[in-house]
Amino acid sequence: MRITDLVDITTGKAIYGQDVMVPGMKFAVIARPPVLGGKVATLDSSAAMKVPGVEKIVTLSPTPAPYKFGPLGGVAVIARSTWAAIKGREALKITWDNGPNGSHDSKAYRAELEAAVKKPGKVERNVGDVDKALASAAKVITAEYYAPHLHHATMEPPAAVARMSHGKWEVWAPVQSPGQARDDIAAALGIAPAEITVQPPLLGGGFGRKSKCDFAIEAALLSRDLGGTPVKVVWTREDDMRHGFYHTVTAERFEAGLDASNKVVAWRHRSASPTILSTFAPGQKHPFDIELGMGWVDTPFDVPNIRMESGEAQNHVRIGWFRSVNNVAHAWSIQSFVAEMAAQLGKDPKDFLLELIGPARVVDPRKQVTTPWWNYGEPFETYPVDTGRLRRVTELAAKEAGWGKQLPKGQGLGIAAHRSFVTYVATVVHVVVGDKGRISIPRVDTAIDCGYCVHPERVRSQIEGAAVMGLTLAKYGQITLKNGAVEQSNFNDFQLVRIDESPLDTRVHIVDNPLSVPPSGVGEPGVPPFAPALCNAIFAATGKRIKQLPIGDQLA
Amino acid sequence: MAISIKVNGVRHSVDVDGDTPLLWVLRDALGLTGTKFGCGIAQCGACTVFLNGKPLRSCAFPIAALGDGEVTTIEGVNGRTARAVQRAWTARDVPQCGYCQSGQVMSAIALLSEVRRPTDRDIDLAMNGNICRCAAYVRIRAAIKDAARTLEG
Ligand code: FES
Ligand code: FES
Repeated sequence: MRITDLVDITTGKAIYGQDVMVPGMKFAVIARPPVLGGKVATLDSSAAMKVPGVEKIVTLSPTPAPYKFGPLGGVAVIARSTWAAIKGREALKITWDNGPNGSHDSKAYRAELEAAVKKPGKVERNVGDVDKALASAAKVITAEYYAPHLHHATMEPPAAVARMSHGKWEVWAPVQSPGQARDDIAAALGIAPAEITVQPPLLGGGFGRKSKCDFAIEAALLSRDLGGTPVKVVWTREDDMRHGFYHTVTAERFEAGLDASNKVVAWRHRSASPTILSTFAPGQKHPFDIELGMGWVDTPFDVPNIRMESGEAQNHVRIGWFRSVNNVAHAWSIQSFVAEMAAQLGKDPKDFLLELIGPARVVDPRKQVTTPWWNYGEPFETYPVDTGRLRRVTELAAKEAGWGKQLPKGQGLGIAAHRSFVTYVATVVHVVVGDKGRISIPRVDTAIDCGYCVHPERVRSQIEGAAVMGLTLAKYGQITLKNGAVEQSNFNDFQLVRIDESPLDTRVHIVDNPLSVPPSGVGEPGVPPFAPALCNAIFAATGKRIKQLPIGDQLA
Repeated sequence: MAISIKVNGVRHSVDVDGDTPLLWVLRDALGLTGTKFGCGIAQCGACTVFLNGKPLRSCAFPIAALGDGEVTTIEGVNGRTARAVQRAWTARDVPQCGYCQSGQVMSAIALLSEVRRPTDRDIDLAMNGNICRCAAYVRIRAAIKDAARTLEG
């Protein structure tokens, strides 16, 4: 099956959101408040109006909290070309009233999250009596992990065109949910959704960012200000980096109790991270069902006493969903902790992982959770938590990667397995840690059980890409804030993995299932196991355990 | 100010400031949107064009510096190497979202015009200025090797 736009894409004819051209169109770039909830205090636009090509300056009011997908407000420069608008924006003199988030600082916030997981939190899942089991354990292993905010950084920065004639609106925007965008634009304009047509051109990447249509609303509001004249809002890369809907930041704490024979008898996992819900409703400080179900309360380990507790976390940025969402931090921390325990117990990490997963069976968290369990929107009967399938991908990835083989000094294999989007994935990373901690990855083996596999080539390509996205977030990924504003700006300080650092050989092993095993997700599940498999490989190669992401210069 | 430029063999007169990056002249003034905007600071390669046959990041190149230089964009590339690359790209299903691919194709054509049988190292060096957020790197590498074989045969 060929991709419809394949030839157009390779010949430059394909039209993306940034490429939409409408006759008579004006170009706009917007200076948005650097801090969430901020607004313009003073504005002097006289120099900007003198920039050749600049036609108008429009002040947009910020959406009040909860922000939902509303625009951030700011000052729009409308011009005859993108470049004139960019130059005009540079010439604006604005002072901002930063509001209550103006003192937000990622370092101090990290300390808050870490304090939250050191004390009892809201119980999210409970099996047996974890306190008693920990108190009477022969040995307790404790560890903490920290994973920062991430950003989608879609290759195409957001952009949208809107125009109105005779009361009918047309909007061209690269949005992941055109129907939702239409409703949100209608609400912002105060008109009926039926008066708007939203046409999505191709999306230059989405990963969750483009399900939020703030940029399309901006275009509509500016076009209305110009009486319906077509306006294209262009986000620069700096705009994209600084005004995103960020993947949450997470502190995780584990306490595992072992009996005298080194069998795990207690498992307490606390997690604190600002919730996506805070973008939509006031006062939300704990995860909701979707976040809980993303590889956390469904942890399928064969342990008699289990408790998950969430700590309180106040948001200071717009929290959004990013490819595989909360699975990123949960899979990374859980699978790192498993390997960390194995090392302390002198066991092989793959064998110990299988021991924790336990025998092939169906795990049913539904009666053990305090919030009704979310199974990716699927019925439990059709898509149960099947440890047999998790074991199978673990064993398959290990076998294909030659698990247990002797490697030279400074090299190592690491393994991780995770169920997400009702699909089972295990990854083995082979890492070489060279001079000054330079990481290279000669080979990755990923086994995926996505039920009946509809389109094997696309499954492969999703897993190939997910490995690199996993590597990027492990190696470089972090958005940090100082005085409430995002510190990163472009690909120079929010680095993405390039071809020369990406795994040289990515092997994808698809479990062959009959049609009777229903198909499941493939776009997201490849991401979560990569970072822990890499960190476990780094431990095998160097003895250094990565406790916080990104790896950055920790190996130098 | 009126500036005369030659793009894909055609001469145009454009009314823009001299500091306008070539990228925005191509996209906004000439409507050649195959050349993409990704970063604006010569970091991602999405805006790669040829200037006198050599790859150039058009986002960081002011139009005033162009002089008599001849620009070729993804819409204007042709010839045996370009065809081999574009065919290899479709045969390997390289693109995911596709947004970076104009730039990838341009850089791959440039590489194969210089090096007929590139090694992995050659590919790394020639292609590491082109970011792909979807990370189609496995297929990009394979397609370059396929195209090289076609060009030999
Ligand atoms: S847009 Fe020119 S290199 Fe990124
Ligand atoms: S295919 Fe999406 S960025 Fe390369």
